[in-house]
Amino acid sequence: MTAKSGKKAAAKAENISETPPRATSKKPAPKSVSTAADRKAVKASVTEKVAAQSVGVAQAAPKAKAAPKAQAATKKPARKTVAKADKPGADGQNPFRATMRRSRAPEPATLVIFGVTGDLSRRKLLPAVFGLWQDGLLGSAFNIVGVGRQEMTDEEFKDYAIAALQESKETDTIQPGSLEKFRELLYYEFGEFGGDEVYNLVGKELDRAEAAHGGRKNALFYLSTPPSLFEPISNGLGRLGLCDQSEGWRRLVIEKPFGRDLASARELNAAIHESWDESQVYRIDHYLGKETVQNLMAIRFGNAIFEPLWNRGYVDHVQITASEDLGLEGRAGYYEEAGIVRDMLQNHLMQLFALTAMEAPAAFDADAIRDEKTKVLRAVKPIPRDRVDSVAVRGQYGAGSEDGQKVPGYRQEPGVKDESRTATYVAVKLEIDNWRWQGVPFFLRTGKRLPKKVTEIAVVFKRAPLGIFPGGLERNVLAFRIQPDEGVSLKFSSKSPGQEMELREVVMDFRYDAFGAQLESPYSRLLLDALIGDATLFPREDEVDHAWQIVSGILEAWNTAPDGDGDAPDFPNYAAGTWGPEEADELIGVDRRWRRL
Amino acid sequence: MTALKILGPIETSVRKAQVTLDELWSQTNVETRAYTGNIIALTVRKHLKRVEEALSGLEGRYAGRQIIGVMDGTDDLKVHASMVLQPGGTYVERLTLDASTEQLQGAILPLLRPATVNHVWWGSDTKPEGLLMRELTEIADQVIADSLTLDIPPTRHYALADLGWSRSAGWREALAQVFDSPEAARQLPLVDHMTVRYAGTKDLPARLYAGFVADTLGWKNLKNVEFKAARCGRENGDLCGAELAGNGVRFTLTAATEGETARVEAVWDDKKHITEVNVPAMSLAEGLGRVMARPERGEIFERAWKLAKETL
Repeated sequence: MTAKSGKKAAAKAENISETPPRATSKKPAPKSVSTAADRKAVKASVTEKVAAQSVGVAQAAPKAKAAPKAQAATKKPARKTVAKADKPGADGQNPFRATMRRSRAPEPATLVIFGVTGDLSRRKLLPAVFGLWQDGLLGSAFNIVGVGRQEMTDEEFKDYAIAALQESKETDTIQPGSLEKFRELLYYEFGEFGGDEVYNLVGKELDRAEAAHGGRKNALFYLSTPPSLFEPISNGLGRLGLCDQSEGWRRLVIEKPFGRDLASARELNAAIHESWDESQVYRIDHYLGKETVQNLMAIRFGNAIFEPLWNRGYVDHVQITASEDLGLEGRAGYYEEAGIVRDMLQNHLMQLFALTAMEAPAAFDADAIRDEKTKVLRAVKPIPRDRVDSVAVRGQYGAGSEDGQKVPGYRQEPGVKDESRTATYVAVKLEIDNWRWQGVPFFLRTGKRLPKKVTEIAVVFKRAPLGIFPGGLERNVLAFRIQPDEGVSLKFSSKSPGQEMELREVVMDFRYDAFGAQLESPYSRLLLDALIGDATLFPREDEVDHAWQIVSGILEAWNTAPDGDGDAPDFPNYAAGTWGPEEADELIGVDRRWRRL
Repeated sequence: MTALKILGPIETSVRKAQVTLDELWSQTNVETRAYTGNIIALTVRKHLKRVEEALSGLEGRYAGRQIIGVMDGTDDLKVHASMVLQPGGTYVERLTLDASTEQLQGAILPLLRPATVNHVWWGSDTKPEGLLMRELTEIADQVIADSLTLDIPPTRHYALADLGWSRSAGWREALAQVFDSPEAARQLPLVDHMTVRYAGTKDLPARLYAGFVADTLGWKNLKNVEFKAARCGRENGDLCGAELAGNGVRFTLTAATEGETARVEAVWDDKKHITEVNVPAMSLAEGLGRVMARPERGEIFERAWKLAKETL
């Protein structure tokens, strides 16, 4: 008996008498499981408790066509006695759910995490899932199947996951007894992602879950893996029919980076769409899960006073900043390849930009919001290679001082080449060719080893047309602080106390912590949305494509890799602990300055 | 329960209350003030401690100012101001007024922080009436009360909230989770009777719960509902479980004797499905916070209330 079959023999024996035990063999099924007949066969084999059955070698499965929408019907015929079609529940809709404050809840489902032993899963995903489960948001029938290449039994995986929850700073306060119960939800499968076996085992996990839940085989596949594995896993799931929605909904969550340039992003999209419909694909950008990013939409579209000012008539320019005080933190291998444009600008900053600049959506739903984001990304004036010098600035930090400590330069970081030309800072000016924003520049900047960690969107208004008081006129600024000190502030001029009519700038500040509530992890919000099937906060294929189009010229002009012909920069050009290279001040132009954050 | 830090109380007056609060604020070294709403808790001395404890656990996100009116005092109005530390380091303001109901009426209204949401909590076991209550319901966005005991029917003038209803929210959510599976939902037309089990002797929350289920399933009354007292380690008035049953189907939720979960046993098509759902017990403060988070009229509650009221 293998370790795998040994742990299964003991699994969940106390649960449901009718529930068959999991299949125990690690060997693949003798035939494809992509056809309905085969799926029935798999189910039958599970139901008949042929736990230790030996099976043969997998064949290449015909490509599964993703069903356009999850089917409401189930395989079993409805009882004749349930024919009162007008009665609540007869249509399969939950009448109680409609009365709940939480009007949307996930159906019973299995969360399958590929790369479950990775850093992201350990630090963020597992704590987020646990928090949702502990808050009772995941329903009565939910479990998690971790998938990795590392050989591990269920029990070893359970130990691993519990230890991860106990160690992560992101884990909610653990209620007595919670970890023990959560442990019961966890299962593990392992295998090579290029073959069929591991997907076959995942399919059997869904069979088992279906038998236990009495519901359909809903599954959310989360790819928390290196990008090189996105395509093999997507293909593998498709090959084995696991993207087919006839037995329950199937969704695919993909972490960033989604491609490394426009061409590779398109290739990846095409590969994924070989098996998956776009409506099944959820691309994670965790910035969109942050409460304060959602608050940007709440403030823009939930109040009448801001939108009339949100245009070229009143706005002078917009600044979007995402600064990091940290250096590489051991990620040299990834960062040397990616650089700041791929790591931050193409995804996080572009999303903040789109939310700030987009038109009001017709509704707060996935398509309406993503349509508007795509429209504004389309309207950005292209940045071909010959425009890059006039609209973008790059930098790389040298040695300096951070928080009173001397810190090394980028090239002195472990794992970084001595002559590395990778940019750690970028500032870019985006111009939007539409009626609302014509002539209003959006300045985006992000970098590592800047003086502090802060993410902010600042809408800088034009000066009043005429100064009737002594002294100069200042600009009003509406600033959204995404992190830390989440909140919104409005800067305006007020009379100073005294006999003279002198004005000075004051700030009216709303701090999100005034609510006295702990902010939820962005991953928990996004995971719950994906389980419910709400794609509002997930970038769509065309958004990602347009974001790559915007930065393509920059990547090309700055490609100093051996295969590239970009200019060699004079790096380092800013000291760690400063606000970036001087050229960035020239980029923002005369009579404007970057906000001192 | 961890002890919450309270600055004060300092004796003050209606006119000086704001100044006293400002002095207390200056001692906190906290800049963030949550001007999110007022909660006016009306009670009597024998319930004062319980009301204070509940309000201490109520986060500032629901009401930045708490005004406690102790109604069995004399015409000699006494006002005390204090600041209650919240988890996370912010404070909420608390004003405690001890006087007769006539005096309270004139004293409470000027102390309300303006232009924000007003919640009135009737934290007493006598039926609310008189000028004080009428004045407060005039300015209230929400009245929170034990509505079945006190026989306060829902009206159009304010949103009525019931703590018994609020605190059984976990059981309503648990039931909803059972039927999130479309297959389970399709069995609901077969359900024709129900049993609700409650802890202790207080069955009114159980009646509201039954009213909710019956209304959702389109039942005209609660004649097919049975109420049974039970022991499950939960507080008096909390539920211990519920069972919905009919021809060939049965859905049973049973509170676990330990922990805040319930076992769900569902039977249809001659198959049994067993799962577990979280049913967290809700403290008084959490129940208050829940109703105050959305002080709108609850039509579902109102319909459940009418069905429950008919059984009394």
